[in-house]
Amino acid sequence: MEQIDSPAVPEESHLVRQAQRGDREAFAGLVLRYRERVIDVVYRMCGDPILAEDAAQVAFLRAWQRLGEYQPRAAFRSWLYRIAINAALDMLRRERPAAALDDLPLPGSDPQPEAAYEQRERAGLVRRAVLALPEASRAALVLREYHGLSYQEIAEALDISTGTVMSRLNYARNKLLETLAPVMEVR
Amino acid sequence: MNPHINTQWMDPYLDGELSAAQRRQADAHLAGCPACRAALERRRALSGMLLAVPPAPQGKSAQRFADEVARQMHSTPAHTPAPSHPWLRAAWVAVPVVLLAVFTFFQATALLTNLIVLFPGLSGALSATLAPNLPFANGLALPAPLDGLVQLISLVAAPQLSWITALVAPIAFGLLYLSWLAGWWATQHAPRADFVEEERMS
Repeated sequence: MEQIDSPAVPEESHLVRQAQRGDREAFAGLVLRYRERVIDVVYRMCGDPILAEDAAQVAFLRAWQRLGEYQPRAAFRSWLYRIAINAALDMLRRERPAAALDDLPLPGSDPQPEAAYEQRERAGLVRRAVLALPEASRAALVLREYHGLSYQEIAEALDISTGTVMSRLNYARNKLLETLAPVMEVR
Repeated sequence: MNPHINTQWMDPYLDGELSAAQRRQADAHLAGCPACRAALERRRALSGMLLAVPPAPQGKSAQRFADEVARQMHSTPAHTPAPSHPWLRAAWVAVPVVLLAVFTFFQATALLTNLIVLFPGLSGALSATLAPNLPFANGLALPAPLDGLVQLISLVAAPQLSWITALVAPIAFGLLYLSWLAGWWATQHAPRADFVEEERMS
């Protein structure tokens, strides 16, 4: 999956402008362009691949309803990711209590060779550790680590200051280092 | 320099968010500090572990996903376009300024008129003082539009109406201003109203 993308591609701004004028085709172009990334943001936030697609669709519908409120001074992806994170949190609160982290399905559950099995086990531990973070820190971490957003873009997406972005990332990474210390030592 | 890199600097360093000068300072420290290099390596290793977690597994095809969103869009009310013209924004900002200017003008006029009325004979004294010094004033008549304006002001600011202007005008202008503020707040906060989170870091 593409990790980092350019926030200011002219074609994208054209699509956004057209969609803001009510052009559904242009908005469909934005859906196709951001589908994978929005699903991934939601998935990293809620940990459930099945819920992730549903929440991503909800996020796109909300984006369509609120497109008139988007101001081009902020990156479109920051604005869209904020909606995606909200949709993920709403879905998570409604569908699955936070206590049920152990029940979350792991992707690719076919029988695997031992090395791959260990790798999957470790990935599962990391994923659970991320999901156990407070929502605010988790959102900052997901946007930074998996989607390569700058501190400024994360600040726009979460409606916080860049100083708060720094402290949330610092907290999230320290907490993960603490939680995953046994796994990191045996690597 | 501090004995070790500030932990608040470690993440911006790793994420490439330090300024050039700060980065040089951190590099200089890292070159001679094994403890900070080890801390940085732990953070890099953590990033590696995070990226090793596979992305969301593919479910629906891209086209099917987009088609489903498009279907739901048809049953969803379309968005309301935002005011995009610069003059609309200027007008939006100008509303409270104009309101305040008009309010101040009427208040000042009423206050002045009341002051003159409070001192009987003051207006006569003023005329007596000014008239000899302004020989042309006897024949001076205000132009028609200005004269009309003066009459309007004196009507609005008449002593018997002053309590109305003193009460009704501030309330009316205050309400208008508050409704403008409420409109402004709604425009600014509507898209982000649902991202309300508690810092639960302790």
